[in-house]
Amino acid sequence: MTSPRLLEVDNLTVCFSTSRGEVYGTDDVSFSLDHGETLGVVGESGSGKSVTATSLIGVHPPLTRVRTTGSAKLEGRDLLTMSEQELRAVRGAEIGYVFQDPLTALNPSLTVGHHLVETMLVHTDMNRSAARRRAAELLDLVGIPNSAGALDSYPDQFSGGMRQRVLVALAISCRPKLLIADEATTALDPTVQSQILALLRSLCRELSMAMIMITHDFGVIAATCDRVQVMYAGRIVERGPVADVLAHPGHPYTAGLLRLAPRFELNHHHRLHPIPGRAPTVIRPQPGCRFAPRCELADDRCEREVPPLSADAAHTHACWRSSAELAAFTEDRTAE
Amino acid sequence: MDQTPAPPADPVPARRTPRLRRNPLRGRLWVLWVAVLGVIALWAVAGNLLAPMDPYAQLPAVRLLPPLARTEAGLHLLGTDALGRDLFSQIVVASRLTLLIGTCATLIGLAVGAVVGICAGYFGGWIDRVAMRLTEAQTAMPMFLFAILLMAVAGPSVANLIALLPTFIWPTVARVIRAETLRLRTEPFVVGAIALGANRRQVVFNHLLPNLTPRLAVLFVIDVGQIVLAEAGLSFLGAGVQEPDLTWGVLIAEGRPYLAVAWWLTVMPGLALAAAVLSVSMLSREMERRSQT
Amino acid sequence: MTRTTHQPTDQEPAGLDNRAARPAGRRPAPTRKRQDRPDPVLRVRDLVVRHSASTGAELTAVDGIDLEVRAGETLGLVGESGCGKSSLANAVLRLIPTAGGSICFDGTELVGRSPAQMRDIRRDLQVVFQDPRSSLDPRMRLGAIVTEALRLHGLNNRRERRRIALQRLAEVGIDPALAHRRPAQLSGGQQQRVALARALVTQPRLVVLDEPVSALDVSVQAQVINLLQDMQRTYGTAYLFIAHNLAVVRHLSHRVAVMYLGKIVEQAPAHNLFRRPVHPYTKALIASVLPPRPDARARLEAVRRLAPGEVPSLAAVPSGCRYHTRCPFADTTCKAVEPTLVRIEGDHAGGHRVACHHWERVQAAAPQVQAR
Repeated sequence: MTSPRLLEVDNLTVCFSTSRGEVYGTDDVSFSLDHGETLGVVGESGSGKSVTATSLIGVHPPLTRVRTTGSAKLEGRDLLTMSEQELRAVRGAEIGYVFQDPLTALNPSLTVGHHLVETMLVHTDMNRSAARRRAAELLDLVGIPNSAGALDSYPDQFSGGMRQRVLVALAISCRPKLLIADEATTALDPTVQSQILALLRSLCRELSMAMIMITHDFGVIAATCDRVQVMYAGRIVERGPVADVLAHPGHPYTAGLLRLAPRFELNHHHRLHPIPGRAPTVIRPQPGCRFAPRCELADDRCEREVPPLSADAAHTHACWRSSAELAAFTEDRTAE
Repeated sequence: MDQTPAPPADPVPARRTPRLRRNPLRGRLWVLWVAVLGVIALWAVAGNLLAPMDPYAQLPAVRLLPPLARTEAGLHLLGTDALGRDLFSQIVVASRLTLLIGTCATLIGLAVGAVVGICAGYFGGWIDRVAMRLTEAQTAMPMFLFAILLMAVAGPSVANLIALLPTFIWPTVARVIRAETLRLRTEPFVVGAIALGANRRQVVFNHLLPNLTPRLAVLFVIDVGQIVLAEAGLSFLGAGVQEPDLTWGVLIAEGRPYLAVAWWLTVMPGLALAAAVLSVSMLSREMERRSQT
Repeated sequence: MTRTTHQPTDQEPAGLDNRAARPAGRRPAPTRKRQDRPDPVLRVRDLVVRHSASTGAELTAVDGIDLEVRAGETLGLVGESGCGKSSLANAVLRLIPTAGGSICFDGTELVGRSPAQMRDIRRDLQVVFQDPRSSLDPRMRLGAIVTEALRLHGLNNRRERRRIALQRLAEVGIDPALAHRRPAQLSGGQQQRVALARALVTQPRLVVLDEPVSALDVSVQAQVINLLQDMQRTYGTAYLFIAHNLAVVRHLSHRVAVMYLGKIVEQAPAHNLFRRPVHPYTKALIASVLPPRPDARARLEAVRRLAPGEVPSLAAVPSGCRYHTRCPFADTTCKAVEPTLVRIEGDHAGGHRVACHHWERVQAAAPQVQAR
């Protein structure tokens, strides 16, 4: 390969030292992303989907000691070994980040214009008036009406959806190559969520930006992403093209999540088939497949050996059971 | 189904790095605090019997001896004061009155402050306005001068002291408890209790008070120190405990003129005070930790 | 009518012995009463709730709403933030004052009752809140939490209460051995199970569920939804189920009401609403539930057409039809005249009703974003 891929993450392991010993945020996670590609990351809380993303921009929860191994190369430069100063140049300029909570991600005592202009002054060689013009353009681009007036408004004069648009504008203000949307629409109302998702999709196309969409909702992935990877307890359990994974999930966890997704065609009183138990909140080293304790197909081997995730195949999953076994089981469940 | 246990603990040792080494004392240190409090309590109950010497026996020849000095009377563990009295014996005997005044006055102050704070926070309206103006008025007064005046009028006695000292702390207590009550009042579990059919009394006693206790415990620890120091200050000015009654505050006050030549006269009673307050504080934290597990 | 689907009939609940343990003569057994009297458990008429904003202006969060919840059925109440659904819930629970209208619960008028007079009624009218973490008293043990209502109402003695606590915990899928634990030691899903057990301990006639699963993980959400369904079958409790997401509501609801800016815009039996939504806003809400299928992308486009922009602020409620600022079908009539909720199908109580001037045109022209 001559030109490096946009992002190449190899064996990323993030380990937090807590008063109760070491716990894993992610465990041996590898994936890659091409320019302009959109990748969905699905998982429940504690699955490591957010930790994967925050470690790319070197931001970790305060008061924790973190040990990171592996590598995460952005166009060939390893983000994990960068100094704080180098990272600061990457954050915002090359990687844009949209957080879940639009309420706390903006400083309530600064105007929207101030947020945008300052970000651009730091990362580009624009002067103030140029940055201000560009800020107004950005607000237009993300669909905020009366953009010139909006520049001088304060964040709490906006509704949740409008604030999230401002955050998107902020994240793309320096034309990043990669946009990370971390549960960016979870806190929004359903109709507003759809609007923001549509906005993110069109922005990616127009600015030929790559995107990592982190969410717990397969519907959001289906609406916005090219590829998807499913995470469980710090590991990737399945990865593939979205349509393929949705139609033929290979991992029992993926299949379980999809079984829970809304299907209006069924009688509205049909019983749901939840995955029994719950995801571990604290991930410690452990042999075997992490999903085995909740898996209805698990056997001895699942408890002993970690199923591998093939690195090459387009659609791959980490499970010892054959696809036929899973398909039979899923059919059983849906038929009930 | 939800209670399926998390995956079993790891049977093989951690792969990469050993776990952080744990402090072996961690979690057992509370024994020390219980011991400290136990000793002080024992002094308070039976100080006269436990003191190695007569705390009032004056030996002018052995004035201001440093700790561990030996005279014909025996070993002066913490030295002697300006009149040649054994400091350790004085501290032991003084603990009774110190603890009595400190705890009683603090508890009264906490009770008054808590009642005012809960009423203000829970009922709001005019009760809140009156209560808050009261605390402001009290805070604005030069309390120490006022206290000296009152003690001069009422006569310095232990009972008067216990009645007066709470005024130093209740306004702060009331404000903290009011703020906490205002927060708790909108918590879903309090609203939920009302929705279950709880009346005001039940809400206050079943939900507000138990959730205020950690806050009250912290306030107790802070205020007990403040009260003992205020008592010492008053005693020093002759408006508090009178000789021959002894408190740690009186000892600190008496030792102060000699700070340059005999540091132990102020430091040792001060250490006793610090040890007592610290033990209460650490124990309350330990209890808080246990109540949550 | 769907409401008869899950009437507890002969598979009688195991927990009924507790109801029998109530002081005799205080009230007839409700199962019998339910069959004698088809009256709704809850009938809300023309309810108005106002909040005073920090600016001093009065905001009308609920503006003249009529609702009925019948015994043993679930009414889903759906709407986005600011539509007044939580205000409505709190008003029904009499936790906030009402500015007008009537709330008739089990034949008793609640508006105008003093807090003391409300206390007896609360035994039959319970609530589960959204955030399980903060809705359980952190300093109480699970056993005491579950039986709190019994204690407050002076029902059963201590020993019976302990037995009931263990039984109820087991019923909602919590190991009774955990009864001496405190809420902080449980996961969110377990906490919500405890909250449900607490709400159901007095065997109420109606439980208000205020976004009970929105704070939970997907796989746990499904577990709690199943549990809610089981409990309804066991106890015949009626639910007023409030949510912002139609996907969650559909499993439990017999009927669904859609709220927008303090008004109900559409109300219908659940299967009608999901198969043939009429109001443009309902269509948008249904489209905004993204299925894990490639057609999710088309839905984004449908939502953009049917519900562009955002919900206007309560401080500036649009004239005429409140939805006209976002509605692709709006004309001058919509700007001037407020539509009333009219029945377009079905009988009086269970029918399909919608508040739209142009519902026939909408149904003919709107893109078919059916809830397939």
